[in-house]
Amino acid sequence: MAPTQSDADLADRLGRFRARMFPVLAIMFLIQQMAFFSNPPAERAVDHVRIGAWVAMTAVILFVLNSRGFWFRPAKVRAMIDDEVTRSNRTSAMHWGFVAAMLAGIVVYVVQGVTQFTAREAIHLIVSAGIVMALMRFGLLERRSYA
Amino acid sequence: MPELVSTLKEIREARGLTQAQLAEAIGVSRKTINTVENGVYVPSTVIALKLAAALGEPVEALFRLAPE
Repeated sequence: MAPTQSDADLADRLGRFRARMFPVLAIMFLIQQMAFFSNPPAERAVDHVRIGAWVAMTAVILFVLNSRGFWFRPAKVRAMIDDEVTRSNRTSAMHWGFVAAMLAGIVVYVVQGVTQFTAREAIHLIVSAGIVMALMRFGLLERRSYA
Repeated sequence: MPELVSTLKEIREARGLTQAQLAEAIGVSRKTINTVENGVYVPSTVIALKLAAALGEPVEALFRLAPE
């Protein structure tokens, strides 16, 4: 008979999984941004679907970053996954994400004199900088915590 | 800021507990125990008190400030 997995073991396994997935999610999000800039959406119906998909993906990632996640797991396990080390890591990640978004905003504002961005492109750049930085930082800190 | 010196690992091992067992006992993940033992994370007062209670030691036996 296989040994019973304790709540701490399960929380450990799920936390490691999350730590691995966040950088992957960041790369996937970045690739999506490259697709946006290499083929900017126009006003066709399919473009509205793309724009909607980006909004949905951004909202989901933001929600996942800000929540405990693992909604179908027991409350005790979820509390262990979101313990104070993780909350501290999340706070640091959100701080870095905010700074990255602000810096991107400043760069867009300055470069606007040389290269013209549409409002949608500027928003993509700023949001992408914030989300990718927060995901990478959170993943890095969590991985370091498990080392 | 003075650094925190932890004897958590020594005391835990002397009790024959694994990180996972201690984590389970105080309701945190193994990661918390690991980061506190390695000095990566300074625990809150609540976690420090829970660790002390679980190991049957005063908090001062687990943590002290490094001499400046």
